[in-house]
Amino acid sequence: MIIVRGLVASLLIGAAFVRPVQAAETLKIASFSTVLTEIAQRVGGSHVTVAGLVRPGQDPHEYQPTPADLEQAADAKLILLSGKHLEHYLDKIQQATGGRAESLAVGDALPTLKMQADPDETQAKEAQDPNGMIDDPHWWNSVANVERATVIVRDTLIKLDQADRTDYEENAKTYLAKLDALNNWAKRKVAELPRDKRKLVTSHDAFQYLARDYGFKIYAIEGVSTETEPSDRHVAELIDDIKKQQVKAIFLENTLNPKVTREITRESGAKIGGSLYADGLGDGDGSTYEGLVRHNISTIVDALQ
Amino acid sequence: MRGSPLLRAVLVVLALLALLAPLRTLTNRRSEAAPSLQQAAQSSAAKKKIRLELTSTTTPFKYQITSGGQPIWSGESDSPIAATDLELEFPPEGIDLVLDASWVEQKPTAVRLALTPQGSDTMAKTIWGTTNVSEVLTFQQEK
Repeated sequence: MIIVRGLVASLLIGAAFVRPVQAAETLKIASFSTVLTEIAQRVGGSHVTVAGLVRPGQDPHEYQPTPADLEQAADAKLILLSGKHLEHYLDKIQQATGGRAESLAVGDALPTLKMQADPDETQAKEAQDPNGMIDDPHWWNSVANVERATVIVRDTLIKLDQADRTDYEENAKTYLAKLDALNNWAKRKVAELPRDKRKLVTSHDAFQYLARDYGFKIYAIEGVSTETEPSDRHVAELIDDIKKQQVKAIFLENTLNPKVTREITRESGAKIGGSLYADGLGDGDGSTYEGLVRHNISTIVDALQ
Repeated sequence: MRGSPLLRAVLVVLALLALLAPLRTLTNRRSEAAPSLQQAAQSSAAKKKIRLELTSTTTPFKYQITSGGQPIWSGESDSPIAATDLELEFPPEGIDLVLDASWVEQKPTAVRLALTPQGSDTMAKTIWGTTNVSEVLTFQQEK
């Protein structure tokens, strides 16, 4: 009897020591998108550890996972991907994880805008469409899409960790309220700019979703990805368009070489309107999603007025 | 006299001189007309006379309409309908008007903003709120 009591007491004491360790364990997430990294951190809070493998300021079109990145991915329970064929290294991730982790291509669950790709771009080569139409992967440039992505991430975290459901729901609600306020601010800011002046010339074609939400027309210097250089003919046509449409400013991007853009401004007479965050979070203003949107919208509206 | 070459020459000179004035007027009008055509082509957003009508199911209500970052109409109304006529740029791409309205009583309220460009059909948008509404409304004429 004494032995049984001793065993029970030992088990209880043991359990008391084990429980806090289990509670401190967090859900490991590997993210291949800077915006999804922020969403996972905001919604997951203290219950998750997020490894942001595509880092702020890094060009996701050019990114290739390092062996260390793949090790972290292999260690994760959830892998967050932008989707819409942006991650052309998907096979490497699948090999590294062996299919053990839940893989969530968030963008694939969002409505898609199609676009004509340069035939030399990787995405165009992989495209099934005979006309070379591909999915525009830059869904995060729509605040409404980021709101949808937040709901998708929240639901996946709840599926993987039912015990912390209430916290995930509460965190998501707070973040969604901020995004809603941000979208309202953006709409009011854009409303300052007459609709006939909403002509956006940017380094590469990354702002279709923003254009759809806020009524802009896009003139892109490069295609959907940053892999290819624009042809002389395309640049000449663009300069012609800029002159005809009396576009006041054109915009650079934080991840691109601004040389071609500067040449176009010289020829067309348009000024450089500033630098935009096209491919996700970066340094400075764009280190948070809210900062990124406020920076992009203010830069565009102020330069085109 | 009739056949005098000198007289003929004088008559030709006089006729040419008489033509000079209208020719000059014509050419001057052309050179003035060119820039105005150009300006018309450039300014796709010429100002139009527009009637705005605001309807609220709760009274009294305060309101402000903003266009291009500038307030263009504001006030307070005890009547469910307030209206004004003003001139606004209305490009083919449409116009964004920011509508802010508020009322003291806390109850679900519909606020309707109707816009009628002179000689065109009325366009209207309705939004709902409990104590206030604040929304960007886009008006575009059908092509």
